[in-house]
Amino acid sequence: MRPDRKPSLAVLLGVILTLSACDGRQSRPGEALVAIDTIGSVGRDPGRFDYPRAMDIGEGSLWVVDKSARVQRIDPQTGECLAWFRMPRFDRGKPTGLTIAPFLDGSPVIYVADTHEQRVAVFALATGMRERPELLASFGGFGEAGGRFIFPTDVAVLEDETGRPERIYVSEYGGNDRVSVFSADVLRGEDGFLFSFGRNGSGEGVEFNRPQSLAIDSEAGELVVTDAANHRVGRFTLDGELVSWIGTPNEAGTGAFDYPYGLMLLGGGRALVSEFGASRIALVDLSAGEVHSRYGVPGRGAGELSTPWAIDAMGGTLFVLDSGNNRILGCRPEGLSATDLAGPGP
Amino acid sequence: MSGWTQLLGSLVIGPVQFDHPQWLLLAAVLLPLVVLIGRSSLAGLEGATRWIVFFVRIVVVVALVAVLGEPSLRREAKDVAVTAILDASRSVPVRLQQEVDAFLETAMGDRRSGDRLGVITVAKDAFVQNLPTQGVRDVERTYTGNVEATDLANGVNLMMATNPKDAAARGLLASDGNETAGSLLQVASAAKAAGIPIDVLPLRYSYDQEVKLDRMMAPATARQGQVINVKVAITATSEARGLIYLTMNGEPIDISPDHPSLGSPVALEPGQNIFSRQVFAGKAGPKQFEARFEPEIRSGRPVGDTLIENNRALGVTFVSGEGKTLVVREDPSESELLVRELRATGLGIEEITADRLAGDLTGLAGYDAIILCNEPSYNFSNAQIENLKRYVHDLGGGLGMSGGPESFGAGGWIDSGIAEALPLRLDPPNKRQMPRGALVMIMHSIEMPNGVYYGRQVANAAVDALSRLDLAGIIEYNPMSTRSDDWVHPLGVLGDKSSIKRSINRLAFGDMPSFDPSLRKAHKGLTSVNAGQRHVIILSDGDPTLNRTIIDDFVADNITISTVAVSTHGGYGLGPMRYMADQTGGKYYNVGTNYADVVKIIFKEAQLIRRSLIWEGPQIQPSVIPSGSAPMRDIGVVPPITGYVVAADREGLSVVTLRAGEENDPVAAHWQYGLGRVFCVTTDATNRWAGAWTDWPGYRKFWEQHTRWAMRPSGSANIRVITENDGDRTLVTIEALDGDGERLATGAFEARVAEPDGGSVPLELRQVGPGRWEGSFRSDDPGTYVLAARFAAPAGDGGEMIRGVAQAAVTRPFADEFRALEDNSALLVQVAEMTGGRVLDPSSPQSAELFRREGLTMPVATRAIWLPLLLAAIGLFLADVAVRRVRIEPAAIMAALRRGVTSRDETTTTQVDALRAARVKAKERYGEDDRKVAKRRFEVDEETLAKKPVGNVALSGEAEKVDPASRSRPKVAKAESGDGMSRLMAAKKRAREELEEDS
Repeated sequence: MRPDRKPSLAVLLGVILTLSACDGRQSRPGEALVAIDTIGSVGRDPGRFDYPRAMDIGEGSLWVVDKSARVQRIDPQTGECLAWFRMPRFDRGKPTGLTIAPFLDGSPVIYVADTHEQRVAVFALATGMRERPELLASFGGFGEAGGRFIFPTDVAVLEDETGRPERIYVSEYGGNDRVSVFSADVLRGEDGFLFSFGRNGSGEGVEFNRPQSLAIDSEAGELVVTDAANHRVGRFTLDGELVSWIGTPNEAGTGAFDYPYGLMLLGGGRALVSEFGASRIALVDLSAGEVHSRYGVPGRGAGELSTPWAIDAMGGTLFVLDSGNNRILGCRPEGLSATDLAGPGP
Repeated sequence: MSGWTQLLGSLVIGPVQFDHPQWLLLAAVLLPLVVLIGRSSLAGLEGATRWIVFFVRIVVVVALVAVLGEPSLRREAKDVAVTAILDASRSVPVRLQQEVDAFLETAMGDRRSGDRLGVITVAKDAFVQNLPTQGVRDVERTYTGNVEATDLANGVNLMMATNPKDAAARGLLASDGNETAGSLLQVASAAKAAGIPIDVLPLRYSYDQEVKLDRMMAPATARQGQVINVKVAITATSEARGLIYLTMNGEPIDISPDHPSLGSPVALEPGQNIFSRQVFAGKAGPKQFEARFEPEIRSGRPVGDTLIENNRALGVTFVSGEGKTLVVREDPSESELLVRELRATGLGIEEITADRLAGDLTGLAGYDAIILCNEPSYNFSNAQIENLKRYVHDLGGGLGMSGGPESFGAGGWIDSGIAEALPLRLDPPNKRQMPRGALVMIMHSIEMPNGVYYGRQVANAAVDALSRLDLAGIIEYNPMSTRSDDWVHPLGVLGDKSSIKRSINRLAFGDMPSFDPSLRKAHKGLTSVNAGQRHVIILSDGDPTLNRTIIDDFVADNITISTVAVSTHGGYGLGPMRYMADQTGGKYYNVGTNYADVVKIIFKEAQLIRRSLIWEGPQIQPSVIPSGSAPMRDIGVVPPITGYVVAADREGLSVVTLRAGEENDPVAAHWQYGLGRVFCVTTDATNRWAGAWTDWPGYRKFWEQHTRWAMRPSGSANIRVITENDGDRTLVTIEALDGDGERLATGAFEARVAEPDGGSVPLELRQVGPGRWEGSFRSDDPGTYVLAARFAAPAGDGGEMIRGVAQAAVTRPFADEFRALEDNSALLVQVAEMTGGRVLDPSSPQSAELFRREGLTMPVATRAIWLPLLLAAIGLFLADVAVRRVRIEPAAIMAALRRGVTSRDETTTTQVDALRAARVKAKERYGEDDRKVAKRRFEVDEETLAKKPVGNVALSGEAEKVDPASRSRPKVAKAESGDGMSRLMAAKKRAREELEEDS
């Protein structure tokens, strides 16, 4: 490349980026999402969903669990189901939380918050159709004592510098309404329970009313929790001390959030929150404690949302689990860069 | 014209279809006319113009003719949608069902991109397992419903209804061909008409070792103490051994005293076998016999038998005797005095609690009257209530209802199944002033099959328990609503309940994340209304979250909350549900999956606010309304009472005999309902409200006359009913003798048959001879059919009419599903031949060609294009006019364009150059810059000049020649003061002088 061409190429690149950022496929605040991808529809065959309630991204795929107790691996490019399995037990109810995170050896596995079985089940990554992968670990059980659950909702894994699990955070509700913290020993079948924090309530202290989603902000060294039925998002130290609440536990729709269910951290102290009650996405400045923008409107039509349970991003695309419409919407919200939505990578 | 249309049909030319092609014939007339007219009218045009006009005109005419033909663009489908209808009924062995699934999963691999596969299971009902889509890769049977019947026609109908419109359809029917309901052949002809071939996959089997009990033959009627001969017809396909057991009304009968077991050993030969035993009939009442065969077991396997479902046979004999009256009460003290007094009159009385009341009509038929003493409706199942109504209406039984705090409207009987059978309306009239209750129902999702339907049933049950004066509201979570946790029906007076029932039909049972918002709304609503009792019922699976501090508000305002946990997640996490009930003084129920209990519980809970229907106070004197009716015969006055349940008069033939209170409320009434009779007494039969009655000498007479009036006339020993099975029908023969044993010459019968599905049909009995009547009814569904015939015949001696009731029961013990001992592939083959389908080989899925295109009619989608074509024709017509009216010479146009462009460029350049030259000259002369000049006078700037042609601007030079000192001299002013012509002449002169100077 000749040096004298560099400036002109840079300008050209800038123009292309600007144009791409200004094209009509961006989702603007307060409007229906402009779906650049719509994956799935209602059904029980592979690639379709029956009220999906949890989603995560890992190994270049979308992982979704729905109300037929199926965990599906979905190709985000084609929308095809690459692999699926059904949970071993589901007569009491179906899971509502799913996380792709490293296992003891550092390889990615599936952590399922098996809500109505009162446990966290850890599976190897699914590779075949209808073939259930190996159950690597399972912990919990019904109860109010430490290390036991009533209705676990989500799992977040704190990794050490080698990419192996150091701590496992599990949120739950049903009276326990708390976050329990385990060491990696729990994955070895040992009692790895360390401590829990929070109780049922709506006070300004560490009180939860259905903590639905967890995410670890490695930049800030914090745990972020969506306190769904209190309509707020909380920042905590990794040891469970409250840093701040964003939103107030008022009636749904009058505070900052309306049943915040899904959570995705963007870096730079920002996060995206999917609001189950309002069927929209909120861009939150965690540091300032403010909602910056909101995207999406409720409805059944193209780009409209119905009770979105989860949210995640990959390859410059934001994926919203549009549960009530039995689909995943891919979009690019205005104001978010491709870096913001880069996701965990393949 | 319609005749033409039908004659020609549609015409397809390439991708265009004409629905009214007859209009195209107009072209044959119009086009020559256009040519003829065009030759003369266009003669004035020359060259290409003429041909263009000619061509345009022809196109316009063709387009207009085409528009009249109603053209559409056709798009033919290329894909095939196959819907597999899988027989999931019990008659198909599980092994074969699994083989079908495997067959389908292999055969579906042979499909092109775009081909779709759907799966429907069919048994008693058909269910879509997968709509036809490209994504179906395997067969997964989820909910298949009741599998003890087969309605293949239902499956084919569903297949036709779910076929996509943009793909050619094929059906695949995998079945044994044994149908117990519907007509497969009938819907197959509909499929043929729709062009849908049905391929069949016959599931062949044969039970070569099978025993089935075809029927039991027991006399329909018998006399008390008679010995009955019970026969069982048994079919065996091979030699078999085993034991036959016999029970009467559920109690085993030792039919083989020599054998250690209660059963009798039998050795069955291939073919028909008859087993016969004599049984002592015992006391009066219905005797239900059940025979059961248990095959001998060798090496853990039954010998000679495969299916156990068809090893049962049932029969019923009505043993006549003196009539009995049944009293149903929860607490014996409610009926103690009543029963003692009735027994003293010689009536046979039995006392039971509601849970022991027979759940079938046969059991009820043994009683001549049934009296409910202060019984709430929730003590009875829906089936019991329905059977009570049928017992009166269809079997001619008598029903009495006596009052108390748990009875009538206060007992939740408003809008119950039996309310219409009562001679009083249980809902008080609108004008009645009384305290009212307020109920809020909070509904959450019900995670069970048909959960929405069940939830609506529950809500309806609660509303049915309330009176029109009560207040009720419903809250649920609906994520698509503007306010997600909101009133589905705002808390308000129920009125005729139509509004709240419409709201119930809209219930969506959303997945509520939290109880809190709904509870807040319920609290706010209940504290803002004036009501005596305020109550909340929460129906939930228990997994919404709860902020427990909210419950404190309910406790403070004395609002009770009852919680009903249904379809819970294994019973875990129900702490919040229990907490709400415990704290507020409500009740907590965990019904799990016992869905039938939910309605009963909700009903009971809703009824808590119904206490307002009870009137209690100081003694009041009921007034006797003269009616001359049998229940009040010779009773002119009754003692005072201290309480009753408020009810209202009912229109029609109801006879009110007692009234009380300021509002003159009815206290006693009776009427005829169907074949039976019903009476109501809204005060009670105890010291609670009728203390003065207990010492009243007329107490016994009052209740005896009411009871005897309601009682069915005792079954006459002179009536004999014979039933005979005749395929799908039962033949009934009634023989009637008078008291002297002579056949009755004439008589009138009014008969009904109560069917197992809850319905009833009248039975027409025709006299075929002296003392002999015959009739028949359809009896092809499994279950018990109970026949009741009320008769009246003139006595031979001219005395009182002979009256009585004859009863009989016919039972089909098991579904036809288990009668077939082998498949019925012939039916399937017939269906395939009829519809153009194929008979597939279950062992060769690879060669099945499920998505075969041969013989399929590809659906065509059409889009009307007459409007765009019409617009195009109009456009062309305007073009035609334009071409003729405006002479267009292309060469001239081009030349003009060229000239115009060239001259404008030259002129512009000349003008600008001249201006610039003048400007330079001016600068040289005056040594002033443009800015100074601009101060003195207006001057166009350079840019404007360049843009704007200004004509012959050489004139401006004259001003620039003027000495600045004499700028205001009147030279120009003078010239300008003249007229236009003189100014022009002067200007021209100056210009000429300047040009001469320059040159």
